[in-house]
Amino acid sequence: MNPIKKKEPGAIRQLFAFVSGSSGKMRISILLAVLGEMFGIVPFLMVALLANELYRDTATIQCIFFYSGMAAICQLIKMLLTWRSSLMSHKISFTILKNIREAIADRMAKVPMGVMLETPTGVFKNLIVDNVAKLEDSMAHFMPELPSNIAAPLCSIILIFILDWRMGLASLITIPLGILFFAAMMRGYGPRMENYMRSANDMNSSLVEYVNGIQVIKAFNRSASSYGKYSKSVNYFHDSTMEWWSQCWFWNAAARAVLPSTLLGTLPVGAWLYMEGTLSLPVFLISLVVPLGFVAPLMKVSEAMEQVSMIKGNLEQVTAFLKTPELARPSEPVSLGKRIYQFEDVHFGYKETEVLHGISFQTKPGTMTAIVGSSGSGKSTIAKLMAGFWDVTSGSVRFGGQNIRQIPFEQLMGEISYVAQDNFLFDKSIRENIRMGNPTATDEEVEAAAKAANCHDFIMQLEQGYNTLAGDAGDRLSGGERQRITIARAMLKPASIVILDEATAYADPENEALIQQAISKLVAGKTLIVVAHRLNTIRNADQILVVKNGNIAGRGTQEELLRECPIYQKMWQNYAGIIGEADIKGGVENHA
Amino acid sequence: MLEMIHRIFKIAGRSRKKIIVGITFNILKSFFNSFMMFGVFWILLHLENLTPTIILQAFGVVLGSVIGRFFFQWMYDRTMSGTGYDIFRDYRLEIGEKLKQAPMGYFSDQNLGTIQTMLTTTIADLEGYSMLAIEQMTSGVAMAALMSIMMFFFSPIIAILSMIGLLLGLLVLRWVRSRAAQYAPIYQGAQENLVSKTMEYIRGISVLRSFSKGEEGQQEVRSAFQKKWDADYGQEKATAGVLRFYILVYKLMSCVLIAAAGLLYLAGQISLPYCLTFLFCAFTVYSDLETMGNSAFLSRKINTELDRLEEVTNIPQMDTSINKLKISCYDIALDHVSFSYGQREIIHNLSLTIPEHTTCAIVGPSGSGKTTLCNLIARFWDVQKGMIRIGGQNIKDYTADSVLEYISMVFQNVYLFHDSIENNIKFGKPDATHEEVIEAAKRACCHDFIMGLSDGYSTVIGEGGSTLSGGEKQRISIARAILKDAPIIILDEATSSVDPENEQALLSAIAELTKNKTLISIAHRLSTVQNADQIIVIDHGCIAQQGTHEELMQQNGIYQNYLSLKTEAAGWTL
Repeated sequence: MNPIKKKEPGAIRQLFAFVSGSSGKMRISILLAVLGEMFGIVPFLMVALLANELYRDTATIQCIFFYSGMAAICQLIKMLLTWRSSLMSHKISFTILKNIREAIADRMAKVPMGVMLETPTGVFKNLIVDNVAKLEDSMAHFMPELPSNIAAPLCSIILIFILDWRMGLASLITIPLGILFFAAMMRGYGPRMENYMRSANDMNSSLVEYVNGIQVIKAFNRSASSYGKYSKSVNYFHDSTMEWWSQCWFWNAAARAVLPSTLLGTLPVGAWLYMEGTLSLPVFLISLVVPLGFVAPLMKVSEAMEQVSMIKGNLEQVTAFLKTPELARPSEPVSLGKRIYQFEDVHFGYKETEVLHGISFQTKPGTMTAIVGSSGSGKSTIAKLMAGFWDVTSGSVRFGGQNIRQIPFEQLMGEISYVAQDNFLFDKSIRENIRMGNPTATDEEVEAAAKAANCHDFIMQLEQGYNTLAGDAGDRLSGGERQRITIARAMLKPASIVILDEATAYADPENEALIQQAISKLVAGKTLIVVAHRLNTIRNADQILVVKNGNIAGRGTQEELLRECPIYQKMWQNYAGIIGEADIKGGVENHA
Repeated sequence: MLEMIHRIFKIAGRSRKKIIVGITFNILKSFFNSFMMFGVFWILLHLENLTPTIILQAFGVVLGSVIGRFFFQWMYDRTMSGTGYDIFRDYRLEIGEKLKQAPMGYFSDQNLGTIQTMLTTTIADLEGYSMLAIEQMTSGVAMAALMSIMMFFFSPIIAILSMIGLLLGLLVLRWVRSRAAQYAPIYQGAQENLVSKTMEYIRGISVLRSFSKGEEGQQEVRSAFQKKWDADYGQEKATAGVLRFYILVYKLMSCVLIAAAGLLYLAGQISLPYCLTFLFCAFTVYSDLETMGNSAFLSRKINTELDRLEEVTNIPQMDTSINKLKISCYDIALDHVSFSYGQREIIHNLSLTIPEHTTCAIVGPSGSGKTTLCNLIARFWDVQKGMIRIGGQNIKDYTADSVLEYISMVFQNVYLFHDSIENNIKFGKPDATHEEVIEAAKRACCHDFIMGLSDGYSTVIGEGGSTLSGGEKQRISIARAILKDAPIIILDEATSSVDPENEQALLSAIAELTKNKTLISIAHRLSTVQNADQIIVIDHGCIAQQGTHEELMQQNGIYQNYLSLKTEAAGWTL
């Protein structure tokens, strides 16, 4: 089956596309359901035949046991068949969900890294967990039962029409009535639903704000008024919802009372026809009993139809992400020359606004290049382009003589260690977290890296040392300690380039010294790119690039820049003002 | 089943009566529903000599029962559908009230997260499902019981048989529920595992992509997806089978009833019309009970959600007196204060005096108790031993709100409301004029950037302040505190530094805020400690050192160590 025959395949079709061969299995499941439901009708026939024999006084004890026994056996077979059918379709549903999750996770690993960085984590969490869970609610509880729910009423309606078309029509009489009542209930549904959604959203956001802002609220003694706002939105939601509901109750009750009451049609019509002698007793009895069961599943089918629009909405968000273009990179490794970066007239913008306007520079192997500038100047963007997180708009970034677009992402990642301010650790042992830098590293190498990164001591103080789960220890490790573990991880990686993208921006000053000691060991003998705003950290750089508004406003060593670059001079003065003379002197002495 | 109704009843509060009335309506609805069989009976009774009148009478019975059914369904909806919303509106309000009275210290990130989920997701689910579950359960049982009672007048044997069927089914339902309950923890576990592994994958994606090859990095998250599949399918397999068995019990009981009706007729115990009516009833007696099987799962969901609800509702309440603190001198004195959080004592027998209009800088390693100490002074928590006095008064004797009137706190994590900048600043003093707001903003160095925004002071800030930079948010929070103009300032100095230009502005904003105030700051900046009137070095919940910068520099100890580390925070070399 080719799922993308049409331009815009339907939601269900899109779902089946996630599991190969699933539509075939779904057909089997439907077939089983239909078969099962056909067996489910047999008991009615049996009873009708029994009634006929009883009526004609031809019934014997044996025939009573035969008919009721057959009915029981058919019920049993029906149960087995529909159970199998439902298991199969559940299996497909769950597999579809799993495959959707996998597709999203896989795509996350392939889209430009920048997309991942600029999208809040909550969005992806919603995609994988919540959106798919909503699909799950719709699919796991409605889709799998759908075959049975369609097959059962269909089989019984067909049966009655075959037996007597007049009774068939009579059994359907409540349906138009029910639809009429539902239609009356749905009047003004659109705007009302909108109002409902809005008041629910308002309530939720005031709820979230009240809870998240409670500290500020209490600190400023505003609990009474904030609570007022909160309770107002809670009450408004309640009252507006009730107002809507109260208009529905009447029609809802009417529809729910009339729809399943097929006797309204079948009893008088059947009796009349029987009285006139044009309807036999067994058929009369069958057409009284059988339709009683067919409204409930039909109502479930209409619920399922609603679910389809839910599925559609949720699926749209998923497919929108799945359509994000992958980072276009070749898969075959290329040979690289000297590990240097060359930026040639690089322009780059996130969406419309251009952030970098023609940047050119070059790094030298084994040296340190620092990038400084105020926040929003574009300094961090340069580092992210180096790491291949984005592709440039125009111009080129070359690494090792090759255009970075020609280097497979994995190969590039093998060459560089990129350390950001994010100090994320996985929920495994500290040892395994460090070892991620180099899966083949021995325990000794892991510990050596930890020592170099100034983490060995505090790790040994933890009860389980290196085997402590970083997740458990999460609240016991300070931000600085976590950062140092990530540095140990980066140190273990055999990379030729180290990019520090404002790596210490969020560290406590107390920890910063330790982190910087660690970093200076990490970078020994490597090419270092540092994006920084604390100027003391970069004053020994071989090359400092001063970035302002997306352009390079000055370059050179610290001494040169202090002599020639007014922007850098101002930055230095500002910086010195904050840190205080003693600190800077201390730093200078330390350096000397 | 009864347990769930009982639990809903417990939280229903003043809506209890309505639930009882609603259930009564529901039973009446079932009564009219089963009454329909008399229409069929009337026809079958006169099968030999049907006349239009008889047919009309039978139709009248059916129509009457439909109308009755409609009427009580309508009555039911009117009472119950609203009741679900009433109960949970009251619940939302009650939790809001409790949050007002809870000690500030209670609001950890984790607690806030759970409360939030509960108020939004959990309650919304309960609002939607709980009344539905009650309806399904009561009407299922009522219908079967009522029909059995009606049959009793025609044939006690059949009635007893059908009652036996009802009880048998309910027994099986118990089994279904216990099977479902067995699976609940596995299912719950897989769900939690899914969320945590997904979060880990998302947050760690940059690390995974730079450190691992190909699909290696996806292994864990994929195995979480697989586990979820296993749990989903396992639950389906284990419970769907028994649920079908539950339905099968009723189907087979129907066959038993059919056989019994036939045999009784052959034995001459009942006449033919009765027998035929029983054949008809055999199919309808259990129909509502069959749908009740689904609500077994619904009730499980409701039970776990009620559990969650109960967990959160145990919000501790502060034992507040109604006295309001009134003081004119702002000395702060801690007298042998001890405080523990759970089992762990965090502050040990600590004494400290901060005279008014002086500055006190608190330094110490993270986890030493600095923040806790500040929280105790602001009465976010109550001390367990010793006492804290402000202006000579024990703060425990006064309402937490009135203590906070004398204190402005500037947090590290700034929270701004989804409202205009003006209103956010005004939060510090609701009756402030526009001029006062501007004055405060100017002093906090925010006026310029606010004027640079398209709507100036009317600019609406995104949820949590997302549209402003970190430094700007911090300064707005300082403007807010300036406007409040409390005599005591507790400042949690930001560890993260913004870029140099912003930092300058931030420092002068803080200087404006703390002018002529009693200031307690958790200090990270050298300049703050150097200029403080006294420095407290906290270590493991005790004061390790105390004095001015000059005094402490003379001593061997944590402070000296700390300063040398700070000065070491110098550049790295190749």
